[in-house]
Amino acid sequence: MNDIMDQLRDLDIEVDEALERLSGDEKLYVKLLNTFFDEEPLKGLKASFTSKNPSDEYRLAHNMKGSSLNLGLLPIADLAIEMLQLLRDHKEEEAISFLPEFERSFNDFYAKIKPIIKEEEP
Amino acid sequence: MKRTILLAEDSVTDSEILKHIFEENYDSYEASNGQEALRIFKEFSSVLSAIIVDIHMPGMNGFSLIKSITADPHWRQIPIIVA
Repeated sequence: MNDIMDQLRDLDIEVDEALERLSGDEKLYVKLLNTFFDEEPLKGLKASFTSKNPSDEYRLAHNMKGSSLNLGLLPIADLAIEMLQLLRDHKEEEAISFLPEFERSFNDFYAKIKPIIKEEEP
Repeated sequence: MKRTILLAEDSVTDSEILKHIFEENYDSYEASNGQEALRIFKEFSSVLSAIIVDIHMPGMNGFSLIKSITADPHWRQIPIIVA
């Protein structure tokens, strides 16, 4: 499991801070990382833009920020924070324009973390 | 005997994290939106020691949930923590 944690650290994930919240339970941490991605947060966020539902857009970006920070997923949290700021400032058009970059970065990150966490899924 | 709390949180990930944080000392009911939380609350209010509420939930949000709960004087004694 140490090797897995090192691989996650190499992806700029704040593994140690996240583990502190989980009493050092590395198995639970990997399970929650899988839960986060299995919830398909990006899919939900994109759907909220498609259906033009500002309260869902905000809620889902806010959820993504909170969960990713709790899990130390800084690259995801940075994206969610940027999106959330645009929505807070009512910059709807800019938020829509940001979505493709958001999706690309999210998927790039998931492609890197997926082989690590899926292998260890209980 | 463990006390019981209600977790009202629409993110599965965050709900699991909260559950883990509290599980040593508390049993928990979980709800993913305000309506579900209010239903569970009404059914089990007599055993609840506290409610953890996420504000941003689909349907009935955390503010509306808190308003519904605190509208009844009997329920105002139960601590509500906004997560």
